[in-house]
This record gives sequence, C-alpha cells and structure tokens, in this order.
Amino acid sequence: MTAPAGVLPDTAPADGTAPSGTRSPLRQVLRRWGFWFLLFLLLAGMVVLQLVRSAGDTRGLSPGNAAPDGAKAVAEVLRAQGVQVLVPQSLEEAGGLLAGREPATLLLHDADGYLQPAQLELLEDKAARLVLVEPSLPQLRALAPGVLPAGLVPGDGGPLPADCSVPGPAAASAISRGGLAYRADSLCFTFDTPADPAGAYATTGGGSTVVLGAGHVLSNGRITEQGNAALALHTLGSTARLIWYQPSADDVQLTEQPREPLSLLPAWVHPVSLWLLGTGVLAMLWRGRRLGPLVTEPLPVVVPAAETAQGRARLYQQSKAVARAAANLRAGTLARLAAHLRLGPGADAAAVVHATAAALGTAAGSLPSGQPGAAGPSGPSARYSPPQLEHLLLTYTPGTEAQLAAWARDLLALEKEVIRR
Amino acid sequence: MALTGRFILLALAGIIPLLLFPSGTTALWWLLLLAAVVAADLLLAASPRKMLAHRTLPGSVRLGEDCTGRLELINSGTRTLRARIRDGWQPSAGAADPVQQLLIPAGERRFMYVRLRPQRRGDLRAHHATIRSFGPLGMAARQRTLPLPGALRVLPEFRAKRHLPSKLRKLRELDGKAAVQIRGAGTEFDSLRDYVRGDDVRSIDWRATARRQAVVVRTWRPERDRRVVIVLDTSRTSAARIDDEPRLDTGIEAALLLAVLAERGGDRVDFLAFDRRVRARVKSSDKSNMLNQLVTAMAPLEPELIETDWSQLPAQVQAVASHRSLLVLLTALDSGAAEEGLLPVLAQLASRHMVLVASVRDPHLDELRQARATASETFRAAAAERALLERAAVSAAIRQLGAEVVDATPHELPPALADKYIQLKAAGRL
Repeated sequence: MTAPAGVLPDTAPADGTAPSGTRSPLRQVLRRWGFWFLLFLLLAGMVVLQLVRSAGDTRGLSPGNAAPDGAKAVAEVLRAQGVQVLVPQSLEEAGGLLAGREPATLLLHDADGYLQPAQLELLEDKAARLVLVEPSLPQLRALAPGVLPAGLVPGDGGPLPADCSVPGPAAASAISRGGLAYRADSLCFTFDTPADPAGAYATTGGGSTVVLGAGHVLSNGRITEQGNAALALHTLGSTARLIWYQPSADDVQLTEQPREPLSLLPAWVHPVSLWLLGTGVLAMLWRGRRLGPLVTEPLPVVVPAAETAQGRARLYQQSKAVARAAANLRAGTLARLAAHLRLGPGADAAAVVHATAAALGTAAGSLPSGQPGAAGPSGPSARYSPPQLEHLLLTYTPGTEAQLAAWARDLLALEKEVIRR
Repeated sequence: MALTGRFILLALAGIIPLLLFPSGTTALWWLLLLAAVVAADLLLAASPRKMLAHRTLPGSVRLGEDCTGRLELINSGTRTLRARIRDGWQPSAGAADPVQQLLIPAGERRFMYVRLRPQRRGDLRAHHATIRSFGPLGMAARQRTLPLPGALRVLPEFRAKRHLPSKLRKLRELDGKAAVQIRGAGTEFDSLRDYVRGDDVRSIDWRATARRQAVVVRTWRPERDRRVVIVLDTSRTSAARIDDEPRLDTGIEAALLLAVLAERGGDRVDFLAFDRRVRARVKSSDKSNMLNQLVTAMAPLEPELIETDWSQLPAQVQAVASHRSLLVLLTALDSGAAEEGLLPVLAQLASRHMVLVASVRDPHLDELRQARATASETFRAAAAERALLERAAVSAAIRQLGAEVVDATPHELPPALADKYIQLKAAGRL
C-alpha cells in the first residue's frame, strides 16, 4: 500500500476496463469517423436493398414470382409433375421453342398488350395447345376468332360451377369468381347476363385453343380456392412442355423513326446558344469579382436584459406555479402600496391594508364583497370595503390561471386607484 | 484580373457573326479576338504594384459626428492609372463613398477622401485598399489589394452633455444659494460681499457690517478638492442591452457627466474600468484635459464575458485614492451577481469611503409588470415583480451597509447620478 489514497480511484478500474485516462484507439477512431461510417452503412444498406428488390420478379402471373399475384406455385407443381416449364424472354425465343418437335402448350399472357396483331399471327397454329390468359380483343381476333370479350365476371355470388363437359373444367367442377368473361360457342363457368350468357373459360378450334378469363386461378394467392388448382393443372399440364410466355416492352415493334426535332431548327441555334452560355459564364466572372476581400465586423454581444425575467415566466407557466406567481404579484403590490402610503420598510401587510382602506376613504357598508374577479372596479367611482380589500390583498389565493389573471388585474386596478388619489 | 461590362458586351456582340456564319470557326475567331483584347488591355494597364498608398486619419471622432479619412496614392509607374479604388473599412465605420474612380498620371499623386460616419464606439479598423487598374480599352483590369491598416478611435457620444448646464447651475447655487463666480482657493468660507435683496439674513456677517457702512454677507462655498473615484463595471452584466443600449454605454454616459460636473465643482476625479483586471484608468493628477483623457480611455471599452472579481476592488481603489473619497460604482443590481460579489466587499468599502452604487433600471420590466391581460402575461408580470423585488432587496441591503443607491432608467441615470452627487455635496457628505 504505497500508493496514496487519492490515486486509488484512478488505478482501480484499470484492471477491468480500459484505462480512464487514455481512450482506446478503436474508440477514438470510432469517435472521429463514426458519423461517416454510419452514413456509409446507411447508403450501402439502401443500395443493397435496391439491388435485392430489383432482382426479384414482380410481374403478375409470372412463373418466377412468389408473391400472391405471381404464379410460381402452379409452375413449380407442374415441374414436379414432369412438365417442362419454359419461360422465353422474347417473341423470337418463344417462336424458337415452339418450333421444337415435341408438342407444347403455349401460355400467352399479355395484359399490357405489347404484341401487335402481326406479331400475334406469328404464334398462330404453332402450338399444339394455346392458352390465352385474359386476352384482349386484338389477341382474340388474331388467335381465337369466334371468342368475344364480355366484360368482367361479377364479383358477387358463390363460386362459378363448371356447367360443361370439357375435361379440365369438369374436373374442377367450380372455381372462385373473378377475372374477365367471354362469349363463344363453347363456354364453361357461365353466368347469366342481360344479353347472352358469358363464361370465364372458352374453347375454340376443337379444344386446342383455350381462353382462360379467370386468370386468378393461376395466382399463388388464390390457387387453393375451390377447384382453381384442378383447372390450372388440367389446362396447362396436358402436354410435356409448357411455354409460359409473357411479352415485355422489349417485344414492342419499333415503327418508323420519328423525325429528329432538333433538325428542324435553323443552323445558328446551336452555336448561338452555346455562345450565350459562355457569355453567361463570363458575366458571372464579371459580376462575381469582388473589389478586394471582405472586411469583417467584430459584432458585440447582444443580451436583452429582461431575458431572465422572461425565462422565469416561462418556467412558472410550464410548471403552473400559480401560487408562486400570486405571491410575487401580492408582494410587489404590497411593497409599492407601502412605499406610496409612506409606511416605511417595516410595515406589515395588515398595516398596508389598513392604510390603503384609509387612503381610499372607504366607508363601512359600501358594496358587499364578492369574488375578486366579479368585484373588479368598473370605474373611478368603484369602492373597496375593508373586508373586500383584505380579501383582495391578503387572503385570496387563485387556484387556476384564469383566476390568477383576473385577480392580478384587480390588484393592478386597486394600485392605480390608490396611487391616483 | 477582372473583366468589365464592356467586355461582356463585346462577347455578346459575337452573336452577330455567329448568326451570319453559323460555324465553329466563327466562334473560334471571335474567341481569339476576345482573348487578344483582354491580353492587350491587361498589358497596357498601369501596374497596381507600382502604386504607393498612405492613409491619414483623424486621431479620434465623437460618435455621431462625421470625419474624413484621406488616402494618398502615388503612381510610381510610367503609365497613367485609371482605377477604381476601394478603401476597406469595416461596415460600422459608415464609409459613405468607399469606392471611387481615380485617374493618376504617371509619377503624380492624388488624394482620395472617404467620408466616415461611425456607427459604433470603439476602435474601428480599415485593413486594406484595393486598386483595380483598367486598361485603355476598358475591357479588363488588373487588381491588387494593398495591406493598409488604419484605426479610427470613436469616442463615446456623451449625449448627457445637455444636462451639464443645468447641473452646473445647481452646483453653483450651492455657493451661498446664489450664482456667484467660483474663484480662488479656499476652505468652506469663501468671501464677503454686499448684501443684496434675497440673501439669507442669517448669512449676514455682523462684524464686517459693523466695520463698513453697508450690510455685508458671508458667502459659502461647498467643500472643494474632494476625491471622486468612478468605477465602471465592464463584466458580463454590462453587456445587457436596456432600451437598445448596452449597460456599459449608459454607464459611460453617466460617468462622463459626473466626472465633468465633479471637476467643475473643484473635486478630483479618478476613473477606473474594471472587471477582473483594470481595463482603463484615468488619474486626477494628470494635468491635461480630463474629459479628453476620459473619453479616450473609455472609447475602446467592451463588455467582457466574465464575472467581476469584486474582492480586488478595495485594493484597486486604495491604489487610486488612499483618502476618504466618493466611490461611485456603476454596475448592475441583478440579484445573484451582486449578492455574492458586491455586498461582502461593500461593507469594507463603505467604512472607508462614501459609496454610491449606480445601476441602470430596465423600464421593460415595468411594462411587463403592468401587462396582465392573459395568463402568459400574468406569469410574465409575476416574474417581472420577482425581479424588481429582488432588485429592491439588493438595494435595501446596500443601503443598510451605509451606501447610497441610484437606480434609474438609461435616459435618467446620468442626471440622477449628477443630482445625487450635488445632493451629497450640499449635505457635506463627501
């Protein structure tokens, strides 16, 4: 025990934690670069998130999309059953796949209508079986003549019964409502409309072309409802190969090149606008060149003197110190009245009240005393009776802020009344 | 280097050939022309490096008065200088025309006069002068900044001067209650003179009357050659702004009025500006013009953001005035600062000297006190009451220690302090 007692607190924590005198270098580095490190982490996180998000397939009824509106479930089940599910990315690729020798089912889902009629005709009669999911009128005209769109399937009512003997729908027996309706000679899942009956499933061409209006039966979210799964698997799984083709913006056929709008301008526009730009830069240099460096002004400190009083007032208000504020106001008024009535510094409050009553010349039995708020003087002729004065100056303690304000005004009025006389 | 508006116009004019022959070659030719013009102008401009400058300033100026700074520029080169010249004053110097056009032939000298109307007390500084020398074409200019330091001492305004005549009259009236000339040295008895109507009959000197045929009265004069020590507090409390004037400036006004009055009253005045150390000091023993010395000493005073070390004050006062004197402390009566620092020292000082504490009262507090329309205002009024009560308590404590207190608003403080001095002098308490 050679160390003096005063050193002990310094040396004691040295064995357990870092020495208190010098911070560890890591902490110093963190302290200096912590903000930038955090900022970097945040940015990197955002970038990674964006990459992850954009990598996913978000198209509706896409065989790679695992979201409720995707169709990964049915595609995976078909794969598990030995069906080869192929996903071409372009029209050419789809055409190439269709040219294969094995019979294939082509699923065409073009909700955005990217393909032109001419492009649609390229797909005609290539596939052993063609499934059009929620097709539009141009697609129907090109690929399934005889089928007409009939609007939406009404959402109310129970599941749609199959009502036909086509093998797929018959196996499903009923599907949940939704999707688009069509009219054709051979309809399934029909419902009554004011015109002819319409259905969510139509076949033409001897059953080789299927128009599936109820696209939702393929979606991950709803495939388990009713007989949706049976209908989906029957419709898509009848051949060994399934070509799941969803056209994208890349398939849009470019029409003739529009005319370059800039080529319509006269020849001098380019050089002159560049020249004006350059002149603008020169003008900035002209105006921006200062005539000598700036001269600093050593500014004085500005301290508003009543700042402390204002701060104290806010403290009073925040803590609702009504009693304390009232005590201050009362003390101030009593002190001023005592000084005005020449009572000397030692006068007690009762003496001040007495002297005030005398100064006001109040006769006993004037106005009866009431609440101070109500008994405020209404004019110079207002009188204060001694009990009322005592109440106002000594005994009354306001409970709320409103009472405090009213009482404070009465005090001030009384003070003015006394000092005027 | 700097460009001019004329050069920009020339560059804009390049649009015309571009309209006629829209091609890159045209632009290139015009660019070459521009470059040639700029190069020629820069080469032909008089070199601002060959300029010699010298600044002449008045020693000091009173706040609120105009003065003129003179810049002497000598062209030692061989070309005529066409220049725009800027005198680099700080903004509060109030330079009316700091930028002027000048033409100085080779080897000649010109003066540039800059009118200054300072807006702040203290030492105002100019750091440099900048010369922008234009070429003969007026397209481009060479620019150089010459370091040319200068300082102008701006003295306090002494607005309270207007109170001086009335206070001096009051002071003279102390002499036998009549306006008489102050002459010669003497003790309390001044001289004898003939009785005139209105003189107090009690002052008739019957012996002298008996020797002469006319009635003679004695005239009295107040005590002379008393010492007045004015201590100005320059600590953080003096930075507080009351009625748009720092407490320090109000203190300076009051100190000036009191010093001039006391000097005319035949007393010796010492001045001390003090917080933790002495910031300025003027001794009564110096023979030259006291007012001039005072304002020069007061001009550079600034509020320091530290607490006053009142415990040093007795030693400082002792060093200035070893005899009993009137000690005027111009400070703040804020509770806290005063209670802890000033009051303990005051007892010691009051036993040796006549102590007068003068402080600026904030009229804003009285306004706050009277506004009670809403709850917030009432709380503010309560806080103002508390501040005023604490102030009154400090004043009472000071009075109890045997010192006097003058507590007045900024405009009233100088005359109130002067009145107090006259009153103390009349009562013979100096």
